Amino acid sequence: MTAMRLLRIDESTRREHYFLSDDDTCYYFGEYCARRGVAYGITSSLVHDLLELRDAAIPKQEFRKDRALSRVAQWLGSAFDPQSLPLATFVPLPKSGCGILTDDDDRMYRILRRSGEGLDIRKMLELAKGGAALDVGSVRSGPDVLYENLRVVQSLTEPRPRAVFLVDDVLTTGANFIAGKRRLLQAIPEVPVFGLFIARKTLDSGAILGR
Amino acid sequence: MPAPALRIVYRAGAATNPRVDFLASDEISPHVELGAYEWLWLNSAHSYAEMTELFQRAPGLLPSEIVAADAARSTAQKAVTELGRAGVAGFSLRIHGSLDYPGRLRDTQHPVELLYAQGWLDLLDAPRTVCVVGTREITEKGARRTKKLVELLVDKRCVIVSGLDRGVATVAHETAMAAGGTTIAVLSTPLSAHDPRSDQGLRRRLAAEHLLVTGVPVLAYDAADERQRKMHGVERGRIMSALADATIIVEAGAISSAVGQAEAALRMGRKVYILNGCFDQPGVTWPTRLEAAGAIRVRSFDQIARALRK
Repeated sequence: MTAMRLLRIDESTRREHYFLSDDDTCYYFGEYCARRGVAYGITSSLVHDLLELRDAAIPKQEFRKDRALSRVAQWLGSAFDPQSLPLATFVPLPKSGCGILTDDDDRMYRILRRSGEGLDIRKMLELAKGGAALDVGSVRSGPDVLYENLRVVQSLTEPRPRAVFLVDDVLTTGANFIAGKRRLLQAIPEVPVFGLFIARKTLDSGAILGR
Repeated sequence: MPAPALRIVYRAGAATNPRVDFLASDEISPHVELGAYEWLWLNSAHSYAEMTELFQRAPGLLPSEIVAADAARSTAQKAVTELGRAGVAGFSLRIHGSLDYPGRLRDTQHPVELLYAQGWLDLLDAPRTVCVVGTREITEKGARRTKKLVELLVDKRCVIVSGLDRGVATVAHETAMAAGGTTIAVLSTPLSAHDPRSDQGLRRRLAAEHLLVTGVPVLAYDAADERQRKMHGVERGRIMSALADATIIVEAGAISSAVGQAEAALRMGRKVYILNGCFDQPGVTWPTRLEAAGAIRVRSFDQIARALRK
């Protein structure tokens, strides 16, 4: 497989993720632009397969979830330079910090595990309130609220990472990323922190299934 | 073996935005690609054929990788300003080399490196797409046929691709929307320009609720002469047929851009259907010629319905 080129949030897309500033470097594979509950695009349908709530009534759902997981893992593997990959530290962004309904907080961790041998993956961020979702009113909360709800697992900050990729499935407002980055920089201020997403949600797309 | 040193390079023109050398290939900044591609249209290529040749000599490279960074950035700014002036609030790009570039576009003779779009981008990858084309001077009978055909196609869950011209295209888009279907309009102008012959209200609705796409660059179009505008029209037809599984000609006179488009579709290995009525026009020879080249003469709509069931 040839190398995969990631896209980067730039001046043409940043205003759709309005908590991001031009100091933030965020990468993504493609756009999430599903509407009317259907996804056709390669990244949109993958996000659907991945995030769809578990439902025994949907045939082959487990198979599709697993296939989507493997596909993203493969993309990640081919987007990074194998030589410098071991120098990066991957940190999954904890979910449900904003009351998102999800049945599988661990998916980004599992994707990373499948991406390659010897990858440095650390669950360095966790929810301060033991994973309890905030009240529904904070679904659209900004980075400040999310930041208060996050904490760094100190024991995992050593050995000191050389660069951190905060990994999440879909980039929406950027609040989650900003909160995570701010928390991390408190604990490891000298380390560059980047964002890595499967897709960025376009402003006019519909709600993301399963979120 | 000591671990290789971590390199963090700062991109020209974006000093605050460090890029880490972790990636297997350089990442893609849509804004910079837009500028580089627009710059190439202004300075290095004046036709789709020349543009294709340029990229054939630089296989696997992005526009930004053959254009100076500051030239790309300043041209991008000009293009964005121009789009803003024309009232294009939001738009998306599909860039050759990125994961979500529609691969079917590569089937055309001179595939565009950049596709400009507004609206529901996912429609580009919808499983069933049919292009409905024909004359601008539509007859009442032609309009009835177009309407009936599009209703059938929407019922079979096809996405309708057409060109936003008056005549067949307008009826096709409007019928698809009225029937609760989805539709893609391919423009022969950039997103920043309006074809005075097409319906602006319809265009706004398509951009908001469906999909508008074009391969025509923003800045170079202003200086385009009659010949180049015609060239954009021809390319538009090829993009339409490339995006669709099949192209259907509803009604067209002796000389029509739909015919050239159908020929291109056949070359791409796409199916072409011609409604029976086209064959009955005195002095019009293209239907039999296209039929000989592989197009299918449609005697009844059942024929299309059966083909879609497969």
